[in-house]
Amino acid sequence: MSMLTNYVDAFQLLLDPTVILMIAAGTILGLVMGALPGLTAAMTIALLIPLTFGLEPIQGIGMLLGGFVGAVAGGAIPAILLGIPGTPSSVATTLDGYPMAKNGQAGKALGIAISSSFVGGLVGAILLLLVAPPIANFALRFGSAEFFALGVFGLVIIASVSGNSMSKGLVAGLIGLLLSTVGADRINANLRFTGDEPALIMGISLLPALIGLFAVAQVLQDLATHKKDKKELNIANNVADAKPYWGILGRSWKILTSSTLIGTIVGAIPGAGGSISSFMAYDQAKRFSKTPEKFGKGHDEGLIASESANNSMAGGALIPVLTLGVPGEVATAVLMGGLTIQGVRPGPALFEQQTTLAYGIFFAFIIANIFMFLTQLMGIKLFVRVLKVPAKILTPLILMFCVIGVYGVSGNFFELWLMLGFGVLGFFLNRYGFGTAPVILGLILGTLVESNLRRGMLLFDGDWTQFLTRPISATLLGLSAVLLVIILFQRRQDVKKGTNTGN
Amino acid sequence: MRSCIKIIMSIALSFSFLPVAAISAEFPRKPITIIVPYGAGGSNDNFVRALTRPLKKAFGTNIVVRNVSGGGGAVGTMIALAHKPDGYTVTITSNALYTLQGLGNVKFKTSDLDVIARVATEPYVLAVKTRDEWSSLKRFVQSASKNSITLGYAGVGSSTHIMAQAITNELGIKAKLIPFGGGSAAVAATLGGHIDGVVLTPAGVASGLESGKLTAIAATGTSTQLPDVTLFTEQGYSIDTLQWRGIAAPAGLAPDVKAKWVNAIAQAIQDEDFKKAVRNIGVDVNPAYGEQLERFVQDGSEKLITLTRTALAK
Repeated sequence: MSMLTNYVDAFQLLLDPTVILMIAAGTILGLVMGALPGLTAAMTIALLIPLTFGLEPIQGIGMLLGGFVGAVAGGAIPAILLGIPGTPSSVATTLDGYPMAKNGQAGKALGIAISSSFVGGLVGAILLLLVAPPIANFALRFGSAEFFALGVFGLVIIASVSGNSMSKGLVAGLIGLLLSTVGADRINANLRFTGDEPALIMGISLLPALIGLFAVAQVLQDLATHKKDKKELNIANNVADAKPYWGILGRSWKILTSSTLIGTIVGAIPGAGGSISSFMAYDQAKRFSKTPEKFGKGHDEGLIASESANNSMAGGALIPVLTLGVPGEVATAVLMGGLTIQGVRPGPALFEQQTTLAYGIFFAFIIANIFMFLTQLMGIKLFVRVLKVPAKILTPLILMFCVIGVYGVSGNFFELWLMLGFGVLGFFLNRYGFGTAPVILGLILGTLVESNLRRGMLLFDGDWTQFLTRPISATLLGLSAVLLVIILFQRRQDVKKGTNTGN
Repeated sequence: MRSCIKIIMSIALSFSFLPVAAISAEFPRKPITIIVPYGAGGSNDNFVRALTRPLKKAFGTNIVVRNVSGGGGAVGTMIALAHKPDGYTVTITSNALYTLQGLGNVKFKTSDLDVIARVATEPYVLAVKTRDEWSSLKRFVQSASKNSITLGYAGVGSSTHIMAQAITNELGIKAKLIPFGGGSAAVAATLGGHIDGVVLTPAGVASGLESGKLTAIAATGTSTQLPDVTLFTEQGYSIDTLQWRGIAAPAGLAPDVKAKWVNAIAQAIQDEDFKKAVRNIGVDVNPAYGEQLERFVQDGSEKLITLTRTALAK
């Protein structure tokens, strides 16, 4: 009974039109920010925080949650249309979304993306509402050994996102791993490869690397391959196709289910980072698909996996914040800062002391997801028209947003050079078929694996067997080994059959 | 003719003096920039943004917040120091100012800054997973001098690292110190039972304490976040270093500009919205100016730079 009263009270809190308006405003702003390369979910929330100072707690929180949900979802738009992930969590969306757009299915790709986002976001929100505590407890079982094993498992994914040639993908992954060693090591603070550049002390920032490898590299490629008589894309067809695709989603319900679960659970593990959850879901979808060879060439299954996972990740990432007061990555850390300023201290006590508000947060989150869907539904036909913008106008615009995004976040000029450097690297990697997604995975996972391996060795007094005997870490490492064997076996079969078109 | 020259001379003279007088009399004549040496949305950034509105009222000019992240605060501080000491560009300071120097990765010294005011402080707190044998400082020290424990902190070279080392030494306990990627990761590891406790600031452990899963053993100073906590100094341990947030300009600030800054800050921190925001962030308004501040900065600088060097030499 009391549970029901809580729900009713919380719901009443949200009946206030101002609250709804704030959630809508946050969501729309988040979508725009997320869609601009370089402006991430964390940046969106950070920009919104000062605006919430004068607001009632639920109004401010609603706006911040809207910004979070909107930014995560908005990242898919440029990922599909331009091959440029708007936020780190939409990198996996470029793998199949962009090829679809290039095949003249931009409208369909966007349609699938927004429907998957909506389902993912909503399922994540419902899981947050219903089973947050057990997921949070599971997430807490992740110590150094488990994070290390998770990172190793993630590295195996590089094989999945490698495109035609696995060896080239591995080379790209190794470049990422190597770059992750730049900066002070996380245990003893010894400087590595930093030169005299203070901006490198804490390592290479993810954002300039991401923007460089995807956006700037794409811009360079457009410049190199620009032809005046470029074939007109069939915009009319694309616009008509831009609608939700519940049928396709229904047929791929297995992928949808596993991806939303992966997104929520991996998103809930503090420190694992939302960006790898969509990769994991993508990998999973490809592995169990009947048509794995279509992945990377514009397959709707890959798009569904990535988009449902990264939006359910938003709900997952809120689990440790709301139940434990422990944010897992930058966006939720900033969000938690915003909540604290509102006088809301996320954590278990929130549910005991400010029950109405706590449930209000849940509902606000669900409403934000609904707004996210509605806004995208209204805007989708507009988004497609981006493709109509001539390259000579669009390309410099993209570059401008990249510069604004990277400089806006760090305020540090050096990061712009870093971005350009990664752009050139990405251009050549793409040109010779190495791909850029493995570099990002290597960069993210390198730090996770290295620091947790060393932290674990410190904690276990140098006893490495602990990595193999703890249940979760043993399972993950075992799975990684099995997957590796399967991948190698499959590749050999492919080579024997002569179907391996790469190399 | 002579009178003409005289008039011209006097006009020229008055002009030559005017600008000097004008700078101080009319400060500020243009917007002021506060450089936050961290990314947007962190607790330092939120603190500055809460201060912006009342400061704008006090100065009657716009305040621009500029985030320059990188190098754990090194890049932003260096960029702030490259500006003219005219009071129009200031930065926010904390103990990171000293630990960065102790790490040896930066070229600036404490004396390169003219610290205008200390605005807020918070203590460091030793918090552990709730257990019977760790119910008080005394029992904790007894237990931890026999059986080694593991303590997490926010990151290598951070002030929580240095304080974890200092607390371990002063208490004479056996502790393995483990660096984490941020305070919340260390708290998660404690809640999950992977380590025994943390040394962090109150805001980082507040929700764990509220839920009863963590116990605050002792703190280096008082905090409204921890009303009943034991202080190390109360039990005879000489650990009283506070984390702080202050405003500083590049060294060489004109005394009257500095005085105007001090007045503006003193006025701004009376603002009710600011007080509320700061309380929510988890720090206490605890202003210091002038000589008291100089002593505070000198003490902190000497102590923490040395401690950082010894902690990393291990």
